[in-house]
Amino acid sequence: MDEAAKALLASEAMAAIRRWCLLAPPLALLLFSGCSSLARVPFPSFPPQQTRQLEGSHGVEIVAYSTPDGVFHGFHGRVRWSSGTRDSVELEGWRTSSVPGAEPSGDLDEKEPVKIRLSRDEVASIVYRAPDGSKTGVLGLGIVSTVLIAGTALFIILFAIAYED
Amino acid sequence: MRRMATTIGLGMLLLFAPVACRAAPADPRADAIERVLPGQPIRLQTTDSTLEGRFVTNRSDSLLLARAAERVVLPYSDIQRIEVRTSARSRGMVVGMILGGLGLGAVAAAQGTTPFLAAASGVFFGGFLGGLLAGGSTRWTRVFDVHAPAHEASADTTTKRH
Repeated sequence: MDEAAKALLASEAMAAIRRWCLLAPPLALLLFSGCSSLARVPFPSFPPQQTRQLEGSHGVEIVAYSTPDGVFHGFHGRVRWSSGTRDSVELEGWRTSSVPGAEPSGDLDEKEPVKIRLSRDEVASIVYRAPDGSKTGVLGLGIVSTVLIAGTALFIILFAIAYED
Repeated sequence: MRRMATTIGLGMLLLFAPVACRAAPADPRADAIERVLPGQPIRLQTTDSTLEGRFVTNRSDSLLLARAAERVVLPYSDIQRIEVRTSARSRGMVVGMILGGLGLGAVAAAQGTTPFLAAASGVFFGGFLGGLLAGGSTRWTRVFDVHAPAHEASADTTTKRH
């Protein structure tokens, strides 16, 4: 192989590395945005981050809530304290007819968003999407492994080009 | 000096009192049950038997369990131990990282090359493969045991539903 062809191959390999570098930000975003799984907590015993969100105007995103009579109500929306005294909560979002794994509550799917206010005692638990460290970990390790494989392959190619007769 | 110690003590009390109150729920059994998701496989040990089924729901003093077609209502006071099925992904990931690191490190050392880089790569590959393979399987995780201190039982009952 002549020098010009070697240089061409090397530049192509460098271009491939640059393309991989361009992929890094979206991969990092995917990694740090994390994965989630359904979790249930007795209300209002949220982890600290969600407890802070519960205080704010944004609230905590929920999938369902249960009442003291043991019924799970599907609700895709947000929950937050409706008063400073924390004696009632405000749920804003869409009622849904089903909750994964739960028996039907009898609620119907609603297309229009609703805003309901419940006393603190009327909400027994909340079902929400919690960050899942193990899923995020596997995803992160997969990304790092892919980058390692790609890097090794490119290194071998460059090495082969550089030492080819 | 005494005044300063009193002020610090009072400050610490005010700072940690809410945390202490939250850390000790009235009934740890109820707290653990309130974290189980509907439909999640659950195993309960009572004073005289072990029941296995799917969690349906709970009320303030009892739990409803589905075993095939039958429904079992169990008062909290009868429950000695609670276990739920959770994903084995995190355990698989850790085992994979250890095996991968040791395996690739040993191979590299046997071939006379530096084992550290190979071991680091093995940790990543092994962890990824271990997590991926174990992600499809589940294991029983104890979330409450009347005989164990509260901090020993894991309250992580998240499932692998997406």
